[in-house]
Amino acid sequence: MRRTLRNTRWRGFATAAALMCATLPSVTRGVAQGVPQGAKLQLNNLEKLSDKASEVNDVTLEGALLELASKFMEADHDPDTAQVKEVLKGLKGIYVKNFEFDEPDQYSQADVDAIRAQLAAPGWTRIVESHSRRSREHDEIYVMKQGDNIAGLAILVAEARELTVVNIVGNIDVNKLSLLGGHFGIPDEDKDHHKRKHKNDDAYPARDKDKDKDKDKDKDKDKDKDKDKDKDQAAAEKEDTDDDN
Amino acid sequence: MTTTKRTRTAVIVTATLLFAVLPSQARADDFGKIVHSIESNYHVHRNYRFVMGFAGFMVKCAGGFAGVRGFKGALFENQRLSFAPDSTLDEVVQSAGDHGWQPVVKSYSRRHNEHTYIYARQEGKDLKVLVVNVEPSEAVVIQVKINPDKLAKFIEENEGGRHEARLDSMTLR
Repeated sequence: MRRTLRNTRWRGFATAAALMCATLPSVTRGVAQGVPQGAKLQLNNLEKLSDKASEVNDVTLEGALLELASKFMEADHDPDTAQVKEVLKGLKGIYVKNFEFDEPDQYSQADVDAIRAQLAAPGWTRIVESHSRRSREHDEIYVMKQGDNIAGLAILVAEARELTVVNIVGNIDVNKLSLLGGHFGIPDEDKDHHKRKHKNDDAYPARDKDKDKDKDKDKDKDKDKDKDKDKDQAAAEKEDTDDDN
Repeated sequence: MTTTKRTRTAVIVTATLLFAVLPSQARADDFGKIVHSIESNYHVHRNYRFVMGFAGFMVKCAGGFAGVRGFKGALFENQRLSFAPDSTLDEVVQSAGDHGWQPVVKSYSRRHNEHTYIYARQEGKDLKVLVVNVEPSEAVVIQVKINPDKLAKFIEENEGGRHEARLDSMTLR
């Protein structure tokens, strides 16, 4: 009798344990499988670049400060600011690291690869990659998905003389994300595109520059020819009118 | 004026003067350390020391204004700050991080010799913000203790007032 009771207890315990294991949240299992717990990147390895860089911008906005920023925007009645506030609502942190160098190749590939290694972890997906050999620029955008939501975003911009990493953690509405450009140290794409265009003139091969110059010269020549034609026509018309008189 | 009132006034004036004149080292906080570091490294002296001290004292006495509950400021104007080693200031400011200050913004330009640091620390419902800006001809160190809710409310009220005034002026036209 005792033995059957003990057996029944053990069976009940085993069933409960099996049920618990089966219903354990996926997050807990994720720890064992090495799935990253958050979308926050470790960017400490870039600190050493501060010594070489001519311009450094490092922004860390999280917790109370993010709330404060949101509260300030609440007070602003500008519609754009209101939309930025909406984006901020779901965010947990904004981290920006930007280094500008006077000389090219001041950071190593290993520095960038250390960040890429984190972005290669399960959960992260690369959605945009743009590579330009001419301007020696490599841009990447990664998102971390959790179900249907985006739990994190990372932007990696590696240029010959500049390195920028933007990491946004929290619920993100991708449609409204562009509104954050120009706020909290996040580059404004429109302004930045213009700035980069000018900056990349240095990296632009001299051969192409000469080609462009030649094109410009040709255009100028064509313009001169057109002008001469106009002048000739005007002179001929003048002569005609003089003859008529 | 009664004797008690006179004594009270004398105490307030003395306290204000003491607060303004006391060396930064005596108030051994991060603000004081940073100000002392700038003074010793760049061989410069603060401007408007009494005014800044008095402003801080008034904020404290008033029990806060617009959500600002504490204020400490040091200004260095029209002085040469470009020939000192940057590393010492960096070390001093960054050591503030060891005292619970969370770095928010660290920005510097070697080209223009400009350094800007913003640190924040939460103290209950309040938030302490430390701002350090060093440029070749001027420097500013400010530490404020703010209540974010009250500050946001103050801004909202004033923005609202300004918004209404703008609407009024438009309707008048």
